[in-house]
Amino acid sequence: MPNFSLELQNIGKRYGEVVALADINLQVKEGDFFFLLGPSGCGKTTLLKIISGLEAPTRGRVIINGKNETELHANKRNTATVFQEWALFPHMNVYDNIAFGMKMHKFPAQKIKTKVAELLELIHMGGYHKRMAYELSGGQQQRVAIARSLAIEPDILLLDEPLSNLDLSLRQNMRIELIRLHEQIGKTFIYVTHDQTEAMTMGDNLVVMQKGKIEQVGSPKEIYKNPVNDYVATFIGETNEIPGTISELSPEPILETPSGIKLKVDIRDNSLKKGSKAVAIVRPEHTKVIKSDDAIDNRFDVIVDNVAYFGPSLRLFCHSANDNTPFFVDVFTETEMAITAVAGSRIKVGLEKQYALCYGIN
Amino acid sequence: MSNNKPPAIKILRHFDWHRLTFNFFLTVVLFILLVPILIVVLSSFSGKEHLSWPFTDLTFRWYFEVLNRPLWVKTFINSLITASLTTVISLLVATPAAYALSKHKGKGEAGFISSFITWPIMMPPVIIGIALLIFLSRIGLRGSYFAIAIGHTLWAAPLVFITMVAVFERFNPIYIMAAKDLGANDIQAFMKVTIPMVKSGIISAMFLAFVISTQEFIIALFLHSPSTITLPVELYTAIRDELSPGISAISVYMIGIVAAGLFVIDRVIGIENIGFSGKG
Amino acid sequence: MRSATESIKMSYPEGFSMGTITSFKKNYKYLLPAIPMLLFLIIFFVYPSVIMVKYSFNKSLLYGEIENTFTFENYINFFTDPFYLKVVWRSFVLGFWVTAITIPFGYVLAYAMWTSKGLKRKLLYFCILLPLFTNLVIRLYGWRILLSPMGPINGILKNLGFTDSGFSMIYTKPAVVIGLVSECAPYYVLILFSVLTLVNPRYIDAAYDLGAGKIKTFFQIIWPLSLPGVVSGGMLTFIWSFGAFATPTILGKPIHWTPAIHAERQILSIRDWPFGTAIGMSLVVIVLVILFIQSRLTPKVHSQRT
Ligand SMILES: Nc1ncnc2c1ncn2[C@@H]1O[C@H](COP(=O)(O)OP(=O)(O)OP(=O)(O)O)[C@@H](O)[C@H]1O
Ligand SMILES: [Mg+2]
Repeated sequence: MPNFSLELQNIGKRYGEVVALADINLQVKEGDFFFLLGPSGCGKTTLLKIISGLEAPTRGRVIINGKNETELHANKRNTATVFQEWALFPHMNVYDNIAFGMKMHKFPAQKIKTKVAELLELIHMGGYHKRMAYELSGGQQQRVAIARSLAIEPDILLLDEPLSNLDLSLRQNMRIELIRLHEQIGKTFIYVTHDQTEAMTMGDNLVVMQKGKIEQVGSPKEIYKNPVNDYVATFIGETNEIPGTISELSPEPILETPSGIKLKVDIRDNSLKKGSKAVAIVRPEHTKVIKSDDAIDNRFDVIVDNVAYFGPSLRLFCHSANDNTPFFVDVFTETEMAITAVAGSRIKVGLEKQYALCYGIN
Repeated sequence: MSNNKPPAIKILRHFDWHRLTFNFFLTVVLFILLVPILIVVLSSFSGKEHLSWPFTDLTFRWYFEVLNRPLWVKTFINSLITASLTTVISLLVATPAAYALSKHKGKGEAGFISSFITWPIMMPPVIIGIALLIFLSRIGLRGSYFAIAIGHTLWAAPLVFITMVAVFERFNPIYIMAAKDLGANDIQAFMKVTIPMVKSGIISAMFLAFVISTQEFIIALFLHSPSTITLPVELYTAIRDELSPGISAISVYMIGIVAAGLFVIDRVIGIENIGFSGKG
Repeated sequence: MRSATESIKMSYPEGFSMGTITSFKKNYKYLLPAIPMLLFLIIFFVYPSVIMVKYSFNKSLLYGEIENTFTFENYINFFTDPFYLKVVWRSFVLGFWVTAITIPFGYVLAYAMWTSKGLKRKLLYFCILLPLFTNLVIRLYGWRILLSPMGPINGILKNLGFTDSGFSMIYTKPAVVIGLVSECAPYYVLILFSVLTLVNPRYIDAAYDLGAGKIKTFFQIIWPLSLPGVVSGGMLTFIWSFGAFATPTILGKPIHWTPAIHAERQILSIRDWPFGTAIGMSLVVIVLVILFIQSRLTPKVHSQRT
């Protein structure tokens, strides 16, 4: 059995009438770079506060390193949070900010000194210890906030959308920095974000949350390939959604769109019956622009509305020739197809049935 | 409207009667507010023993002369002692209350308690003076510095409370969370993070309480004894008998305390943020 | 350990679970830091007020002795004596004049503050706060110098040849009124200003845009929106003038004395505490009645303050 750094059992949290979290169960392995992903207001910050002890759950247990710490206050737990707003103490300089937690934990003075110096090296900010928080750039403040949290040598580092206040290029640099830090320190990182690329590119494992509930847990690859429902599928990665009705289940499941196109699909939802409303989720990279004689499970006509260049690939924004369902396709820039596809042209697209993931609609 | 009117009428039309009336009213009200103070300052330079217009033989000598009058020096020191006591008590009781109530503004009982705390400033000071006089005579405190300071705290603490609520409301609780998350307990977080971050607000509240106490005289009139009489109370009796440049000079010292206090408050939190506008 | 019991509670339907009771208990803990303040007020404000009320129902004997009975005598004496009824009536009239003058003049100052920015606004603030904080006695002393027979106003009028012997201005009703205006105006202006700042200045632009003139814009848009400030500031002015203490004693004659002054006389000079406290309590009751009527007549205004 692997060592779990963190286990959450049946966590629930209510604010008066608002149910912020409902029955959260989760296990995080030691040393994991673990992501909490979900839209705004789904309860990510609330969950982090419960892990750190800043909020008490209404029900359930928080187990850290095998010990039940549900009743422990934040100052007694060995977790540290990097807040969304960083929250560097404005009346202290960088040194005092980083040393604050160590003083609270009564580290010996000599150790505090060397540790701060060490941490400043780690975040590439040696020599900045006299600066006040407001004299730092956004990226520097962010790194000091991380160093301040790391200073108390937490078993779990909690990061609440730490990059959302930075501009795009800085954010990309900081992502690389964070991965490096995680590797160097080897502690468990729990990272909250609503940015799916962040979670997909940085995480070892992630959970997708919605409305206070966990939808799916797994590695980015698993979740991308096998989303458990259409919510996860559309939240992770980009998708086309083709709505319709199941007109056939055997021998081959068929989804019929309102305009009469029959798609062979891969049923991902056991509750689906003949006649149920359903949606087929299709990733743009899995559709191909085809010539009429290519052998493929599904084929249909679309009309190109717009062409967008993404470096090596082109994205064709189209709509179905039969109705107005929007649809987009990615093709490589250098191919013949890419050259002939111009706005207004009518093209054929093909799709293997294993890439048309079919889920029921509630 | 036709364009070929004679220029004279045009000028008359552009002459802004509204603005003129407005400025007239503004001048009158500023006159009523400021002229009493200005005249006191002016009269303090008069060279004559008794004040009569015009003020002539202008001199600074009263400012030095009054420093040699033991009665006034004594009342001035009494005022400073009372004001210091008032400042300390007001801050000690009102700041934690403001801290607690600033975060729970919406709630029913918090709203009620907040308005209860501000009740004393709605009371005519004469009433507060009478009530405290009766009570403090019973417990033998009447006439002490402490008695006057209690009376002034009833007036100053609600205002400190209003100011500090505004200060704490602007304080982001995320810093307390960060401190606790890093291992600080409630008291450490309050002392090491909250207090230093709202320091400027506290300084302003201190000056507010101090200035109020140095200027108040109705409550002090009821509660003083010959040995604790404050400067404003002594002034109250003195000005009915005499108009003299010496009294004016003493008054100017008092006005100086107010102006300096306002200046400090403006430097620290901005004059617009004084909790006084919450009064009433 | 809370988890087991808690989870059972939570499995009950939402709403009436025992969780409500736990949260009820926890809800009041935040009030702990307010306790010193509340204790202070209870000991030094509420309790003394109660004693004072009690005194006002006692009977006074000779030489400041007090008989501990329960009697309405003091109140009956106050409210049936034509002398004191006249005192109350004259204070009402005084309050009316002060309020009637303060409202338009203070409005102009508040409006000037509202429409100004930066240094000018700071200066106007200073012009209000300096008199507001400066000892009232000093300001009244200033008025005494100004209005005295030998003072600057008479001096200038003599020089201009309007009079030879000088007008007697001090110890008159207008002197008391103007003194009270200068005492109350700073508070009135600050209250009105805080209401005005809630009015979006764009309304003015919008009204101009729609072709309304300056006067029309003011009376149709700004005045109605600022009315709550005028009413509560005016109310405060009236109540304070009615309960004034220092100004009528220093700038007026005994005929201008308010109930507050009579209360102080009874207590500090005549040493009739029961009667003095009864006058004081009557003053408080009259003020509360005025406040109550105001809140009845203008409920909207009342809710907008605080
Ligand atoms: N103190 C509180 N009182 C009442 N409701 C709250 C409180 N804190 C959070 N909530 C509610 O709980 C839900 C979850 O909030 P939370 O802050 O955890 O969202 P989030 O996932 O972090 O969102 P974001 O991405 O916008 O930060 C929201 O509906 C929010 O309104
Ligand atoms: Mg959040």
